[in-house]
Amino acid sequence: MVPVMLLDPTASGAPTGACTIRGAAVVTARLSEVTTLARQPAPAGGPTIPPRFLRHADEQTVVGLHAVLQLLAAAGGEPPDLSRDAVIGASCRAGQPTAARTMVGLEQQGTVGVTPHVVPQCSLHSLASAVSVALGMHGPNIGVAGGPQAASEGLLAAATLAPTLPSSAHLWLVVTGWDLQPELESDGTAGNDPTCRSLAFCLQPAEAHRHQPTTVPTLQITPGASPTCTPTETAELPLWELCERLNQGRETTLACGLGLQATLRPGENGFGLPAFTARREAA
Amino acid sequence: MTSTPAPVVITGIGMATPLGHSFATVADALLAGLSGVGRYDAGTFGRPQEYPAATVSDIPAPPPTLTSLDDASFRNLSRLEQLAISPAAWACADAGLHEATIDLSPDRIGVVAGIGAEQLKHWEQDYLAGSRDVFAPAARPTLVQRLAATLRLTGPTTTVAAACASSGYALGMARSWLQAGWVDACVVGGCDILSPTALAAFHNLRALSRRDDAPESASRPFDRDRDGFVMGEGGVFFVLERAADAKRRKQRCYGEVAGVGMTSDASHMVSPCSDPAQASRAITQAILDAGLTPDSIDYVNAHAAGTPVGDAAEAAAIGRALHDAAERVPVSSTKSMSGHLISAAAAFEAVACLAAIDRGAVPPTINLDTPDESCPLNHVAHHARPARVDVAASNSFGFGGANLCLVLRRAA
Repeated sequence: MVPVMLLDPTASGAPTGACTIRGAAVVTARLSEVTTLARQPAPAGGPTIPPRFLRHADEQTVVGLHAVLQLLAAAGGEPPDLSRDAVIGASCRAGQPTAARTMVGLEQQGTVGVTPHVVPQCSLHSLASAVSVALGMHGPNIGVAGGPQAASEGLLAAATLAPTLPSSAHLWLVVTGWDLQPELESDGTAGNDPTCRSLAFCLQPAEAHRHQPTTVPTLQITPGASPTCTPTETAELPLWELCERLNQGRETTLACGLGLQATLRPGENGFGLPAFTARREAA
Repeated sequence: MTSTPAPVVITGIGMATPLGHSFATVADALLAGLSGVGRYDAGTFGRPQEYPAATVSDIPAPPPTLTSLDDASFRNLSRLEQLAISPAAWACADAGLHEATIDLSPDRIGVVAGIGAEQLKHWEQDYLAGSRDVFAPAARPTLVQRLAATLRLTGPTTTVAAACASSGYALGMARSWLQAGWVDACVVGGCDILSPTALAAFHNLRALSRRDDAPESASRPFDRDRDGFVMGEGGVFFVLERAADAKRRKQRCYGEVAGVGMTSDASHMVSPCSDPAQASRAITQAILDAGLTPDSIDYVNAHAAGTPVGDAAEAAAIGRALHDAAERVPVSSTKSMSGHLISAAAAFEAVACLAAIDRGAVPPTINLDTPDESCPLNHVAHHARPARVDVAASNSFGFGGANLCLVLRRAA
């Protein structure tokens, strides 16, 4: 058995950066499919969400929330109590189509052409807030990243927040992005049909000073990436590639600046992801 | 054996705000009850559109030794970049982070920025300037990455967003990194700009005050005649360090980030939650996290932005969290003077708490002519109130139900 190394084990009571991955799910949708997905009910076997809840939501919020719903449905059993759970949404350039339409509306109509939903639904916090509101999570809801380091920043934020939660609570980390960023026409309509992707993790903090069994997948933060310790992957690993690596059950390390790295380590069944196609579409 | 997490203190402050660009200037303005609110034209495409708003004038260039930017290069940056880089660099200078005598590796200095809608602001500014990045965005590093590069810092970085509580969550994140031993110092804060789109969106939500003819009196938290908030802009950054490290290098400590409480209403994406339960729980969490009781709180800087539902709900949350102490503890909302700095609001209001601790006086809520009966608090109206403040709590709440409370304590 290989023990999980906890950073600075003398600092009990402070975050140690080790989490157990209780489950993971991936959802993808083409830009043209997102509106339909937003109207779909939650998968059978999991919690429901209010009808029309996602009608103003950004594309990344739609696929992100559906990844969480899929994970909950896959767990089955009694409806879980999510009230103590927390959520981190790590998106990459979210809100672009709505922002484009808003700019066109502002130019053509002035103030009245600006939708009041653009700020609450297309900001960096919107994904996490939507998951929190939809599923009744009263733990913190936080957006992080916003750029190409979404996965790296999301993992670091999750490892930061998880130890502060009650032991019975889960932390949901949802990473989202476009495989290719949408290309829009001058009126804001779509000129291509790229894939929007989400990867959701359900995490629990590892108990300090306890070695984690290697049968379960883990996330841990360790010092690294100093000049003598280079992480195996860049901080900007594309989301589709991260999904593919996890699908293959491959240990993956992402840099978090030069001083830290986040490592996703598979358990005996990999990361528990159902088989899916993670391949990136051609440019 | 369980040990107490290391205390984390603030050793540097930098800012560019509607009330001034230094701790001393802003503390003076807050305690004098000055308003930073004026009339602002957010007109676009030839259409004038005025709002009461709090703007920043003359953003100071960063100290030349800290970045590779000369004054002209700095002025060519976007306004959001200026409001991040200038305060962050001045905070580093204040903390002496780049002095030759400091043995601190850049790999061990993190940067955490609370910025709620960086992409929206970038796309908007770009569009208004005649470019069209929003239609086919080019890959570009985030502002926090550019900030770290400008300051030549190579530790972990992240952008944190929780709407109007963003920079408070950033402070909580930075504190946790220091307590975990992941960094030895952290540059942390938040920034935001006035934007025509955001002003229009909030206007269309009927969230903004409509007192266009009297901007200085438009921001009136807890007042019976409040009718919405007044948007502002600014950047406020801190340097955080473990107290032992700060003490070792004899650095001034403005205060300790002693407690953090974070909860979510899980109620609605837009509307404020009228149930104070989760906001109250955030305050209680922060007090407990600091190892204190409600009796220890000497001042509450309220989120209170001047919205009818939000202010009343917060008053109930404060009352519920502080119990009997609520009658004694002075409460004010400095948004009455600064406007609502959105992503930078929590950081700015942490400065207001530090000013109260430093100056021995509680800043007032100006424009509070007739306290609303639905907000039964120990208000500090119009004028600062002399008081020894050792512990201050600062609330920040945001869209999507994000609740945050910071407890700041006089450094030991």
